[in-house]
Amino acid sequence: MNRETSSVPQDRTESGGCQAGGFNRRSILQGVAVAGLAAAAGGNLLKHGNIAGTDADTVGAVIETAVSGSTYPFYGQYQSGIITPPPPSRQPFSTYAAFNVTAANRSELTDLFRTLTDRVAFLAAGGAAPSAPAGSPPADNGIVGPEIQPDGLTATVSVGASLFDGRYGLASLKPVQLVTMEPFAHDDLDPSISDGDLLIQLCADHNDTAVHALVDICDATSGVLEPRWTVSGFTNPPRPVGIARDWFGFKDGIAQPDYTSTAQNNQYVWAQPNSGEPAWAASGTYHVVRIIQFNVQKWQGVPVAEQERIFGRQKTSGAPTYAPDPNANDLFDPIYTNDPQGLLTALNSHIRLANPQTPQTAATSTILRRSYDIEQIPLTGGGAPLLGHAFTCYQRELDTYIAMQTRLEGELLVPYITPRGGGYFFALPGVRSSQDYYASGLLA
Amino acid sequence: MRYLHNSVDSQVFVTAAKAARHIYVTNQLDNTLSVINAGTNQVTATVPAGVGPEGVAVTPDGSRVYVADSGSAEVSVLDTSNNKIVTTVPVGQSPTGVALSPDGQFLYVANGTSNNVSVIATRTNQVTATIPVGIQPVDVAVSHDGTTLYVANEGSASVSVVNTSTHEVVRDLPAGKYPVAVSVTPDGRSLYVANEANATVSVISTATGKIAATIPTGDGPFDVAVAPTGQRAYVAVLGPGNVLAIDTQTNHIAGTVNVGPPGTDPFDIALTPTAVYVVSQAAGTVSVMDPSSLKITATITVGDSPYGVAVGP
Repeated sequence: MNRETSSVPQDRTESGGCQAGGFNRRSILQGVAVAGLAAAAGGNLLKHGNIAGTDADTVGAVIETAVSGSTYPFYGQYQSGIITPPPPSRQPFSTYAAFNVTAANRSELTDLFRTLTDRVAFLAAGGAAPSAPAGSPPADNGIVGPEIQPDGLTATVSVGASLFDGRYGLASLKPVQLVTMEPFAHDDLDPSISDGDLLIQLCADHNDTAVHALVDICDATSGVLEPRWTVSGFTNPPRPVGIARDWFGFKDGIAQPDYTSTAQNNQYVWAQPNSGEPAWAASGTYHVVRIIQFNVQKWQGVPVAEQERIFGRQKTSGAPTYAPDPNANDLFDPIYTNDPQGLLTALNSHIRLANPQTPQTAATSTILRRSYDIEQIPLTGGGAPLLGHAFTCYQRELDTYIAMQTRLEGELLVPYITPRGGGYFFALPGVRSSQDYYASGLLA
Repeated sequence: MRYLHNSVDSQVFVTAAKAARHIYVTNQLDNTLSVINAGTNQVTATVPAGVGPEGVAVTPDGSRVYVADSGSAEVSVLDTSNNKIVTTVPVGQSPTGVALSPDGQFLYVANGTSNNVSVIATRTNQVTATIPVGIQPVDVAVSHDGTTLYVANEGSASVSVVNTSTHEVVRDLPAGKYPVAVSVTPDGRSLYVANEANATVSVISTATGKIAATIPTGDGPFDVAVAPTGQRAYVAVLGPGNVLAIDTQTNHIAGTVNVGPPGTDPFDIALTPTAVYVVSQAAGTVSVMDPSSLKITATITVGDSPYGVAVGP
């Protein structure tokens, strides 16, 4: 599963960042401070010069006429990429990058978040690639050409429990349920693809846009962010329609709260003010990523009827096995209350353990999922394709996910999947304006 | 149909005209019972019940309400004079459907995972018999003369016919796939059985034991209730969110009433001569329908995931 980390090679960390380059920590942060605030001196060190001397609102206005493609607003109460409409119809590509933060102190940490803010504000809006002085290395990596399209890019920036250790004096401000992921019963976690101080999930309409953004961000934060692991994910197209299928051939991600409903989002997704969470955390959300390997060879040996019993869903339609019609809609509501013995929907089927529809589990049965498929085909012989998904979910309380996954320790699917990594994070509240920056409430 | 329609007679209604009738709704996921004043359609009390309250029945005199607590394997007994639970009676596992005998002397409880029916004497609130039936029994109905109990067994796709004097199964009638609800006509000649997994209602002749008619309903028929007059049977169809009115003479659908979009989940029905009460589990509401016009006249918000409804005298 280490092969999952290939998007940004681990050996880049030897140079202190994922983009080697000749910029030391000081110069990078200076330059970013200028870009963000149009204040401090040092414009000559600015790598991304096109936003020097402007504020990001102005940049956005300029960009609007310059580029096309899907654009998600960067500024707002919430980060994008969470209740943003999920794939496959949009943003079928995602890159996850977890980092160790190597900022020397709180001041540098603040600079790091300002840098991230500036980079993502630019990347989400798009615009002309910045120019560099003659003889200097190019300011942009050029992956997406001279005119950077927003291309449906969202970045979701989240912090791990380890950021709240003693380094930056943040211990008392940790989201109350945020912990380092502990293995569940059947996990086989690899520390090299688990956890991190910071996670950035980049979703986009094309893979190059996500990769371009990651390389840009790594470049801008070299010296203060050390890549820890990355996973590149995508969503298969609908086969034939609707929700996409995973590597087991089943539609995945059917049962969801209504992310268009403010009431449901407040109930299930967003951390609320005066809820026991630190004040800064309101409008953030717990962000869970689980890198899960699928044993598709073993799965292939299971008769379809049994596969359907394992999931509690019909393979072709995605409808619950509960539904009478083989062509029933996948959104057809399964009802378990009159099936105490699990004759229609096995008691230890995936969907029934995820949401057993009982009073005891009612509070721990709703999460907002946004998973991406992952695959690695060996370049040399002798290895089977490594298939799985980067299970991703958001929830107002991390304990909701933990309770649900604890129930799933007993699911029929266990022999066919192996969780390998990922982690628990807290997605920061949104950046509200060009004067604001990621984690401003945390660092204020 | 699992509730007290069989106790509704004209004599009771004369009495009921004086005092307001009450409607009782179990809220499966918040473990409460909502008490609704049928005159005002207002919730007047919310009473803590056991875990996972599902089926509910009201005695003919209106003094007691019985609630099957599926998660705690007991029946809660409510005193309607003060809306307090006065006792709980341990029964089998996963009790769900309940029905009272017409005289109110016995409560029958379908124990979904114990594959039996508990008989509770309401005078003493003790279990006096436990009757083995089919697999996964979930609903019960009593004939209007009180002599026969019908039990819908989901897992065996059958209806058990029980002699209420001997507490023995005298016959097994074939139903459709996954029968989840059973109701008996006032004349005792026909059973209406909702077959959840093949989306039909079967009409079974009690004389021949054969299926006399099969009525397609749409996905997920979850309850069926024959009206006190015997002329109509109402079906809650949770897939499309419909209530069907079936003409019991022709066994044709006389009307289809939509109570909400898919996901509303109409779940359970209780009847008076002047109202059809429909519980919608996902919407968290009780819809009140006029049986003459088939119009929804009121919608009452109750608790979290309401499951069962029963009407008092």
